[in-house]
Amino acid sequence: MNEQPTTAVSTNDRPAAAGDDLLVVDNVQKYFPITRGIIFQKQIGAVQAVDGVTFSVKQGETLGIVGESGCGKSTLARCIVRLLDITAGSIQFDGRDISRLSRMAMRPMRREMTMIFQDPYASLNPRKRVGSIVGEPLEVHGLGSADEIKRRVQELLEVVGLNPEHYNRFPHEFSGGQRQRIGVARALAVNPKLIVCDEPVSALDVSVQAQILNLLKDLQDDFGLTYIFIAHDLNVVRHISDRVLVMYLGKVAEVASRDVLYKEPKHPYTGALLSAVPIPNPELGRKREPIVLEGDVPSPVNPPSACRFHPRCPRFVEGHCDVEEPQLYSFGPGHVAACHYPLERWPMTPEEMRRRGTARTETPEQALQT
Amino acid sequence: MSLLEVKDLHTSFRTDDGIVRAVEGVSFEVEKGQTLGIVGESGSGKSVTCLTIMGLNPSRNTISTGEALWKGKNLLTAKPRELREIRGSEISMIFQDPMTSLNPVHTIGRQLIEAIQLHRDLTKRAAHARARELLKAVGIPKADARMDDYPHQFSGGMRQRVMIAMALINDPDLLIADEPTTALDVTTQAQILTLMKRLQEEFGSAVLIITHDLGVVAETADDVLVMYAANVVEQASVDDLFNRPQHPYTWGLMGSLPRLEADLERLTQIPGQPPSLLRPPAGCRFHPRCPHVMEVCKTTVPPLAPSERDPAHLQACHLDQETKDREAAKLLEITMAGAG
Ligand SMILES: Nc1ncnc2c1ncn2[C@@H]1O[C@H](COP(=O)(O)OP(=O)(O)OP(=O)(O)O)[C@@H](O)[C@H]1O
Ligand SMILES: Nc1ncnc2c1ncn2[C@@H]1O[C@H](COP(=O)(O)OP(=O)(O)OP(=O)(O)O)[C@@H](O)[C@H]1O
Ligand SMILES: [Mg+2]
Ligand SMILES: [Mg+2]
Repeated sequence: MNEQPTTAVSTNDRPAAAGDDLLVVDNVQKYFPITRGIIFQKQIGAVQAVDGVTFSVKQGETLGIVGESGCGKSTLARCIVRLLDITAGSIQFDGRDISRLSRMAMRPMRREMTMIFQDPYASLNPRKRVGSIVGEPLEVHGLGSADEIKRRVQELLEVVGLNPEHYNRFPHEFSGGQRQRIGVARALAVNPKLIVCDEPVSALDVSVQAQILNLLKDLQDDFGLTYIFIAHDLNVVRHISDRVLVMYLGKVAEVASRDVLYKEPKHPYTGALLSAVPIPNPELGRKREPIVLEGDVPSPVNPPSACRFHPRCPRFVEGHCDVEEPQLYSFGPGHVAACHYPLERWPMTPEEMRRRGTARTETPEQALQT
Repeated sequence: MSLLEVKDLHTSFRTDDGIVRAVEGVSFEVEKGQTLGIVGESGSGKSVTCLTIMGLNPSRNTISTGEALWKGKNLLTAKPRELREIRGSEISMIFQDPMTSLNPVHTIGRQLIEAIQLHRDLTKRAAHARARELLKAVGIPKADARMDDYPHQFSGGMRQRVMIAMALINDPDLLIADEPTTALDVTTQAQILTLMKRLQEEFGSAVLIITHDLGVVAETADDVLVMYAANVVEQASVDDLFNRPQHPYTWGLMGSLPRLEADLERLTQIPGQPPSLLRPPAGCRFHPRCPHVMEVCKTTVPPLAPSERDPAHLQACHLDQETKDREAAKLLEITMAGAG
């Protein structure tokens, strides 16, 4: 797809120029209350799914987000597109604070920011045919006549690698990867400015995955689309992202431009992630020496004190990491990591990783805007 | 006798637009303790193959033929009650879509406890303890606080791990795992793959793993089946497949991997669109997208046959051996350079 479809009208009346912040997430918190009791619900705790996350995304940029399963990526994504109300903090989109907008006030924004959902099946209405699922956002926003919408939907199905013969089928008649692509087509339909992609290619074979990633890049080059791209495949994230944010248990562990993050990770958790990427060759894979995280996976219900990674960290220092929470220290332009004992170099063997160096002492850089 | 022997399996669906032939003539065997990987194009029939074996296809519009012999017994003609029994105690499946197999209106704890009590004669209390143990084994901590949660309160990867926990309850002889780690970060994925390996070592279980992650296949499978448009196009041991791939689709797949070293603006993708299964192309189904296409490919279906180099390496392609060797060597060079 090489041209902006004609069925949608541009809503860019005060366009954010490339380089401006399109999205500013400031100290966002999302707690889910845990309640007991049927008639009198009593709150007995909270899942601290997202706990003070700050970052910004520039117009035309792709920010990758990676992190352990359950660390709060999808929750953060849902907060950004306002499918969830945030507990604290603020979210600015295109210069406007949207964190407390009502549902009604959010409606026109829904065509400027869309989301590709992680769970394709759960996000598709099982009683609707694919044609109307993909066309629905166009109808809701009144973008085109019935004929125009149909043509646009067929074009969208094609660019995501589905056949015209799929137009009349129901979601359950598709394979996992085909369903995921229906979600992609739907998110693209209204020509949004920002797409929050939550594992958009996880169910696709690598060739179709390449097709979708190329498509996203082309759209970005041609129309300046901005993406937040959540994925667990670190090679995919590296390919698509300009910058990468690493989350750990509801907090930001590290942010850097993608080359820096992959070549000079500072946070031990980032190091552990990079070392665990499976290699698509049996011989090379057998030689790999992953850094295994020991200890129990912590829970966001009662997270560990101070640095949340400390119970599993190979460089843990008692009396420091479990007492003082590390701020986001600066490691060069645009590179911050929340660790008292950052990695001195990369790659490292598990053995080297355990020999920690000296603690960071400079004043922490609080702000992430770089 | 193999544990599972699938012979010439066909499955079609009747739809409003015609008959979708999702699986056409798939055959393979799985031995005790073996891990067989299935990779292939999205929509090529991997999940349907497994659902057919398990007798879980929607029956009204489905037609299946062929044989799936489980310890000698044909599952395709087995009675529903027998199938249920085998599914409960001997074969487990981890479904690609966790939400379709978890009940949204029951808590995670209740679903696990019921599943445990179905297989074992345990008190509620003992089953509760076992459920907690299983959740911990798949990396879900503080299970006490989470047992009363509903599926929608779990993250995508947590739901997937609940499914895995359920599939492991009865120490199955065969575990069919359909994209078991797609929703998991690499460290959690490593933990789950280790868990599956332990199951194999302890109980000699066989594993049939479907995954599009070639890294996961390389690290877990003994043998690999490659599917394209309802057919098996290649089958080999994992080392052979990665070192000497013989089919142009497999080359395309391996060539599409995003590589760490390559600062490519665009990824390589297989040109063209996936084929229609209502009206599949004549001859070799891959021919409209194959960079090596010859006249014969457009008319004659290449049979899945032993390669000239190695009788255990099956492939369905008309190309001559020399070209295949050359292409495979080229590809291997890129892979080795990429990871080195
Ligand atoms: N509606 C909810 N109610 C209660 N807890 C929730 C709810 N939604 C999410 N959580 C919890 O918040 C935490 C973060 O979940 P989230 O879905 O954001 O994780 P994630 O990083 O996307 O993980 P994954 O990689 O597995 O998808 C988890 O512990 C999850 O159980
Ligand atoms: N109930 C159904 N009715 C009609 N067609 C179906 C039905 N279920 C599956 N199909 C089609 O059968 C083909 C094979 O589907 P299957 O789910 O086996 O693919 P897959 O190889 O598992 O793909 P993926 O990697 O995307 O999960 C697909 O093209 C799909 O559209
Ligand atoms: Mg998620
Ligand atoms: Mg599938």
